[in-house]
Amino acid sequence: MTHSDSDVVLAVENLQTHLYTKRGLVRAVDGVSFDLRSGETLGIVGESGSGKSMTALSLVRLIPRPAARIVGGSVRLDGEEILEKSEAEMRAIRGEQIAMILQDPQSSLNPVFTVGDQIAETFQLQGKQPRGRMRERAIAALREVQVADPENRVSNFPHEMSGGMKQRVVGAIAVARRPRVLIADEPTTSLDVTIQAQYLRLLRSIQQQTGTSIIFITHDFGIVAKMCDRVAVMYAGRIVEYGPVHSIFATPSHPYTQALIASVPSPDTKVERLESIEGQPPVPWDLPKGCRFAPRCPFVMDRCRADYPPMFATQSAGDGDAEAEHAAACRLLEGES
Amino acid sequence: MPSSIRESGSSSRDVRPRGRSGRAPFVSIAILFFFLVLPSLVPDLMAPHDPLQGVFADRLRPPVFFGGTWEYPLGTDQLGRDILSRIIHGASVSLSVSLTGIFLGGLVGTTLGMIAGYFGGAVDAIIMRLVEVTMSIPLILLGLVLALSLGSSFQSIIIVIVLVLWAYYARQIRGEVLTIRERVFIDRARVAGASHLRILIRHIFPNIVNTLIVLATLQVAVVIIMEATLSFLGLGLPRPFPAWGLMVADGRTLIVRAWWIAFFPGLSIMLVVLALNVLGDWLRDRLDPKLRQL
Amino acid sequence: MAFLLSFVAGSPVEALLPADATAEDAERLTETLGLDEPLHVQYARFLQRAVRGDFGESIKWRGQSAMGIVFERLPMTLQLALTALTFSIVVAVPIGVLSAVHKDGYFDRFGKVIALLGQSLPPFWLGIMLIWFLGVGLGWLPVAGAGSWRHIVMPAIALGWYQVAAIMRLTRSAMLDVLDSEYIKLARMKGVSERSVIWKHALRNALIVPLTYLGIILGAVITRTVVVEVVFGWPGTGTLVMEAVLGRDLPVVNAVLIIFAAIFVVANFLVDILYAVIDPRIRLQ
Repeated sequence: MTHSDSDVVLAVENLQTHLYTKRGLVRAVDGVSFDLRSGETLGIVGESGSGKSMTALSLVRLIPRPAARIVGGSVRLDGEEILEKSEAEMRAIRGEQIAMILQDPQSSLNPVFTVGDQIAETFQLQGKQPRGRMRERAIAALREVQVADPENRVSNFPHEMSGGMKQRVVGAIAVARRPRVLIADEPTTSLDVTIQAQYLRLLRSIQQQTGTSIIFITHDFGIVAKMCDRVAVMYAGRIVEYGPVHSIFATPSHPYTQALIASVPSPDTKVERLESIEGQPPVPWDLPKGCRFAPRCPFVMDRCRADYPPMFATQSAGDGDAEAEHAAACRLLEGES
Repeated sequence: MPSSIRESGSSSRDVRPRGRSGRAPFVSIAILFFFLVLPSLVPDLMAPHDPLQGVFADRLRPPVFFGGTWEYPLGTDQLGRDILSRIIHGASVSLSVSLTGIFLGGLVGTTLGMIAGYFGGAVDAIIMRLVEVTMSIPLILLGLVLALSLGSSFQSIIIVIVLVLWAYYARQIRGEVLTIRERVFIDRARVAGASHLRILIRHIFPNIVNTLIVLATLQVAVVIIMEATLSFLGLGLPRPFPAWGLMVADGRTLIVRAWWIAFFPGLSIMLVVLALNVLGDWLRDRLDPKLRQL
Repeated sequence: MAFLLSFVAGSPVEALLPADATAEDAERLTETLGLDEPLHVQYARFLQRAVRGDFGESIKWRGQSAMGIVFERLPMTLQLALTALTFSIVVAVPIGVLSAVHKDGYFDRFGKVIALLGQSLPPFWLGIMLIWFLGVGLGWLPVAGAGSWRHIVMPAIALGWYQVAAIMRLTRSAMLDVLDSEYIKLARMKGVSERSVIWKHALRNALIVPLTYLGIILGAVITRTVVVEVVFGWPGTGTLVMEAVLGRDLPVVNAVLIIFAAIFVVANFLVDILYAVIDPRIRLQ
């Protein structure tokens, strides 16, 4: 899945992050590869524990230490290898080149500093600036994320704001320095539905203004449909399927993707029947040898259990058209291609 | 069924956080036994000399290795009394004062704490008010006055200690009883017609025993220092009784000429308190992890 | 509080008299102190005067008011207590923070040893040992009295060391909680340096816990000044109250008690204000 295209911002190849737990070694991220292109939104979808958040943290090298370690692979930002950077170089990249929105707005902001100070701090990292100027920039950043009355809000403390507004502030901090890549890790899970929709709209409009690329991490295929250009589906530390959103929804090729999409409640039907997947995700310190979905897969074959299936291009994949590339790691596709 | 039994056994072993509380602190237990318990029980068997009667000719002898002899391993004081023998006899002061003080303080505090937590309302308000007042008054000073008016004696030290300690027990126990009271089995007991006293003793008390043990172990250390401090100020047991704090006070003015008089009793206090703290920490982790903030 | 004070106020006359006093002496004293009147009258009068801060004339230092004597000595005690607490915090907080940052590492183990040693050293013994080593042995610092900054070093260490353990432990556990939080992750995500993450973002939040503790132990620290002042001959209220107790000067003892209790109340109030400065969430309430 490597591109030599110049519009690739972030190229991830065979990324491996291991967690060392009391129960044993967990291959939290086990050979993940994808490209992020300029201005696009890539969705990473999976259940909790699939390794999607660990993938995101690995990209900025903020994985919990010493429990976790990146053991292999490559992450290149505009062609430069991130995994070989020093800690000081990494700090310059975080916030400036790659920014992140965390899951929980209630706890993402430091309770003892005003939101203005917390936004201003990101600017401060670019070099010392006078106080008044910082305040102005913080107000502008709040206005950008459509916080009403930014002149007064700037001196609020986090506890004086609603959850939705706090998440806007977190967004303002993330896009403040116009990063090339914005990683949003389930940014709306803790918000209620209407605020969720507003927030997603906001993210999209910011993306249009700034041209930033977004990695959108979620477990909700409904949000993927609204937000993303392309999707990567993760299961037990690996990407099992990737492709353009329309193609994945039209012809989901991995049985796991099919089950996930089937479980999205359709807005048309009043009575929703969630087609849940039978069985449990595998215990992370004791993964099956072959395809990790095999124990739960309705179409499982003997060779699925023998070794891990490689990526197969799907029928819907256009000929050599990178934009339309659609592949899945499933033996069912073996004969087709 | 044997296989399933084995299985459940192995899984429960996995769940317990292994190695968290560590091995029992044997060194601490040994220190406590040889420095505190044994000397309290059989001081005459261990002490080489009379703790009260000195040999005038042998006064201010240095410890062995510092120019002294094995006759007086830790040296002698200004009256020619053997420091080692006095320390051995002093152990019983520390032990008996702290055990009695903690037992009585714990008794008063636990009773009031249980009553406050169980009945709530005005009783609770009054008792907790008293706890606050107790904690806000420099009780050692009050104790000084008390020791003075009652004369310095075993009883007056105990009264001071109980006055200081009860509030800590009451506050902790009340908090625990409040949560225990909400549990179902108390309701069931009440429906079954059990009296308040019976519920308190049969149902609530067993649930706070662990807390009490941990609290008491950690408090022994505090009380030993408290007793030593009172003795040091001359408000503990009267001379010539060999309390450790008093021995330090006796050696204070002689620190230049005969450092060992003040050094060794203080070292004994430190070792015993250190061992008690280690033991208390270990017990706390084992019995009652939620007390970790204490 | 009034209840306990009345108990002190009503202490038996014998306590005020030398051991060889006659019954006649006792009677005379009883009369002059007004102790021959019924208890509730005594109590009412005592309260009346206590509220005004008037505990009468000192018995030992004839002609001086008890309160006046106490106020004369009070600044020395406050100076000692505050210096000691500053010492405790300056030593304990960095060790606690670094222990949390290097959890289970060598520094953490070193911190644990410091904590255990601190809790186990009786302050009066530590004081004497300091005098022996630093004062007599090395001759660096004056062994007793007051007057220059060099006089306060040893008493402050002797008094402050005991709190180091508890403040360190509380700082450590609070820091561990805070370092695990989302807003610390976000600060790192912004590209904030590790030093700023720890000492600015995390510590400001973690400080609330040891601060609460400071409010709780202030009473104990003030009380402990007594023994440390005696060891170092520090001319504060501690040595005063010992002289008063041994001289059976009840008005002075009462005045010290009231002042210490008042310090405790004021200190708790100050801690509340400090909370609000550190944690804006409390400002609202």
